[in-house]
Amino acid sequence: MGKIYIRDSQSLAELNNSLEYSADSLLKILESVDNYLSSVRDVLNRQLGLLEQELQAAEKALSEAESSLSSCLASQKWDDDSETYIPSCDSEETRVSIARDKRDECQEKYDNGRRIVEEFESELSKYKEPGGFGPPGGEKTLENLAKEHTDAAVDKMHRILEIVEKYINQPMHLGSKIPNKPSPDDRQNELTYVPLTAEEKKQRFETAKQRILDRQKEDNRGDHKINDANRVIICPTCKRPLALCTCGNNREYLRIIQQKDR
Amino acid sequence: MRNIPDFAIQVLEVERQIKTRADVTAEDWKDAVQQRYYDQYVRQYEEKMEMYIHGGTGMSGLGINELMRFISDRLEQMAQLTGISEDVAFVYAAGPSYDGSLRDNFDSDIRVEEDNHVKYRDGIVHNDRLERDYWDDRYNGPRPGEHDNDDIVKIMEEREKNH
Repeated sequence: MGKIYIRDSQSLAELNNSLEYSADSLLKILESVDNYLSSVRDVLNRQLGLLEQELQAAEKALSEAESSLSSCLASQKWDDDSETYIPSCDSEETRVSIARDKRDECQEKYDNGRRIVEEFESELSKYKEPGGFGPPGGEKTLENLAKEHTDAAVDKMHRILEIVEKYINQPMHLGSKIPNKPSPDDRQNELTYVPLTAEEKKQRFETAKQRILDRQKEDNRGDHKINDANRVIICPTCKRPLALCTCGNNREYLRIIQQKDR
Repeated sequence: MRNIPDFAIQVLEVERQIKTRADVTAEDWKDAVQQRYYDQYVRQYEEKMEMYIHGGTGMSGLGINELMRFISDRLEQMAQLTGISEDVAFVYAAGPSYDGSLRDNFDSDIRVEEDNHVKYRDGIVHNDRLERDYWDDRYNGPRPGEHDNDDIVKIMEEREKNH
């Protein structure tokens, strides 16, 4: 075993702690993402459902218009005086034409809506790809990091801490048999242990944090630019969050979305 | 207006916490074991989190950054078809309690409770495995980032007793 250079052995435990915390945080973020994606799927499907309802209504209107036209045509008789069929079915034909245009428009909207949902589902399934034959999707990538990888990293750190605590004669690890307060003789073994003051540690952490922050800002430019995320959407009129706004039809739309399929 | 939740920024926050702590610890710990540990474990955090945010050859599908933009586009397209505002659809999807971006406080630490004492005995701040449960609404213990080492030792001891 080579030489060990550890200025502050507590720093190892703090790194371990940071890894555990981060893993917890990542799992929580994954849960939030999952909830959001489920809600997006829900809201898209509900909107597709509205388009489907519109299409069904348009088809029904077309069917009724065609039926009226058929009845009208069936009742027509040739009039020698005017040399035309009476009654005229022009208005019924116009209704059919309008209804057909409306149906076609609704059909196109529905098809486009379905394409949007299918594209979303496709990306969603890639995100949730568990991996195996191919690389995993984002969810599994982060989950593996937060679970298996963190377990391994923490386990390894525990083994390192066991060695370190014997070396510096300081209780670092759970279940340690080394007493909390080593005797003066024990302290002679602390060849490399030079504890920092709390203020020094804090200052060092602040410096490191600023360095990382600057680096992250530099890294996240161009192709790696992080999207600007929303702040709360405020109604420009009543200044309330949009979900609570009573100025327009937004709440009505929300109600329609929420009530559909209940 | 794009409707994009701040998940990428949240991951970036976590990444910053790890990298900061790893940098500080690397100043204290300079030997071959540290090199191996960082190569084998610590660096993967940065690599995988970057991959999760931006995607890459080792991952299927879009990174979360691009995925959120993709969804925003689809909500917008769907809004054009239904006439339902994409903002409303987003609020519905994100939940009415969505309180905006972390970008506002990107430069600041994840909050650290003033009372930096681990209250593991009250059974509120830990889950059934005695792991700190930061996300429990009742959680009132210390927040991560800058932990007191005594707290860490106490938690580890407590976990050891219970396993």
